Amino acid sequence: MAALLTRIRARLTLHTHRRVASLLDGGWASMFHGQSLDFDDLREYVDGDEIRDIDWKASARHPVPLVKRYTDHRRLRLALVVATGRSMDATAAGGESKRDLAILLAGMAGWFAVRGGDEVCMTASDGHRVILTRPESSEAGLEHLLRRILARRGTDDSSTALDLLEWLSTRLRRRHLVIVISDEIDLTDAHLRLLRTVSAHHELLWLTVLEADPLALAAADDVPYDVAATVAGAAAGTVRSGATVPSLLAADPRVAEAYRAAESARRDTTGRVLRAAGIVEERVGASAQALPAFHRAAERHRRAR
Amino acid sequence: MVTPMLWLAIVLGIAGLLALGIAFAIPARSRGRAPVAFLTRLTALPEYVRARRRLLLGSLAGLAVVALTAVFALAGVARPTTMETISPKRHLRDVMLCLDVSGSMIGYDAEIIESYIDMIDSFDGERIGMTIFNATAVTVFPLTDDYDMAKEFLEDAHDGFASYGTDGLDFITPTQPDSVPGSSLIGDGVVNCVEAFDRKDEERSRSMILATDNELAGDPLFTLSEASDHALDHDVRIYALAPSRYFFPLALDELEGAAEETDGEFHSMSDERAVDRIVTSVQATEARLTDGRLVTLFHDKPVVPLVGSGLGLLALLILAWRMRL
Repeated sequence: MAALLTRIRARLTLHTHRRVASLLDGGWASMFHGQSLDFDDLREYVDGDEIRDIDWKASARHPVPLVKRYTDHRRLRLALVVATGRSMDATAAGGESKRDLAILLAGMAGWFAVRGGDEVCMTASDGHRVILTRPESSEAGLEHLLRRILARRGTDDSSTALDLLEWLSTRLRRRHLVIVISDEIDLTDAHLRLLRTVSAHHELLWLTVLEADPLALAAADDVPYDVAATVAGAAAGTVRSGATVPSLLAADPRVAEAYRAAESARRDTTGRVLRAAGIVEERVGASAQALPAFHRAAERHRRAR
Repeated sequence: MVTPMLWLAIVLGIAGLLALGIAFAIPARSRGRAPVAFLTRLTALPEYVRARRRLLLGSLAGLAVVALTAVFALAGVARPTTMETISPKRHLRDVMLCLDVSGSMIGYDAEIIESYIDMIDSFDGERIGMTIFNATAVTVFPLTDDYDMAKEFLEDAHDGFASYGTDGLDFITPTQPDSVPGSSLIGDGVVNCVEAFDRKDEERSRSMILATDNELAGDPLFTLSEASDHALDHDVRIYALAPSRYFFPLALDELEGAAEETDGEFHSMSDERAVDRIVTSVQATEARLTDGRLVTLFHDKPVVPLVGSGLGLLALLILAWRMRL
């Protein structure tokens, strides 16, 4: 059952064996255990509070249970915002599935959190509505979360990480470490307000899974087709024409030139928007880049704080 | 135009269409193998749309060239052939139109010329010539198979006779020179007509259509019977076409005798179908006398399909080179 996490853990221990273990521990520990466990006050229990936070003695003298409130940062919960829509079934820049890469990234983040004794929750869309999962603090629970990402494979779901983040922005009360794992969606100034809001209320890391270059694929005779068109066309029994790129077109230098320009302009805009919102972004194209990118993100975030 | 190998072309064409159908039925590799997201970021680019349209047009052009080449090649396979049926002996027939333009015949000549014109329409392959005579004989045109030219002459002659020499060809003055006494020298005219046949050493069928009333006025060098003997010597059959017997029965009897002496026939112009009968009889007699076996010749016409498929192949090569296939 623990197949997903086992693979990720194997990869982590393999990579972190010597070089980055200490760096990671330091970076991670400072994020989750940065403040002392200073008691602040008591308040009434609301849905979603930790059972272990309940002050049983105080609750005994009160009609409703009371929970202890600690100062900020006492316990930073990790909230994973992972894009699970149909666009994640496409190929990443490194040639593997974007969904697999997203699972790897989410698994890494979750595993570091769980190992450090912290809790992990995830926003997930089940196709009809978005929910926030129960906080998990075990490896089995984390595996369960990762399975949710995998289970959305091949569904006709056009939601993006931005939709999940928007939903989340109004639901998360406590301060969380929010790690967004998204593909290369268009981020424009219109999203700046949302991003700034989330960034102000939570610690926000943005991990971008890079898209495969359709022209390079076409040139290599791996005819690229639009995954969205295929899913939409599966119902109609046909793939929409124009949803593939013939390899003959990949040789056209004017097309390549125009595509490079358009892509670099788009990436510039996305990067600018994220910077303007004060969000640390790292880009991951292949699973081999996942851990270094993760480290860089954590390190940059720690410094920025 | 016949195509003896049409069945092969049809079989090949059906095989080609079947292959095309199978090729379309098998899912192509180009249906896409690598799923990518946000492909519209590429496909919505105006440069991409232009390139895609160019590719589409190029493909359509290529398809059209392929189809045309295939059609030309199949047309070549069908082996287009023209079939020609000829009777070689027909070109061994000579027919001389021999016309008496003496004063007594002037009234009939326009009508006779019309008959000649009708007669020309019925000829096919025979050589015809024309000689006129009165006191002396003149060759209007020698033996030829240029029927258009012959018809032109005859039409001019018709105008000439209809206007008594004021319009068109004047046949009256040249055949009545002052140095020759007499007129309507039938025997001399017939001998002249016989002499107008050329290629005497060849084995040819020779006929003369002699239009005269046999009304002699003068002292000829040859009598009609001497002339018919001469014609017989040269294997020339005389088909006589004479005006009504009503006026000169004796002279016409002599003419009929002369015609029959040479295995020819006598026809009166009072008979409206005389011309048809002469032509039929000339051709029937000659067909009987000569070997009328038909020969069918097949001429291959490969130029258009071969050039077409060659050009198509060239265009395909150029297209393939342009697209760097």
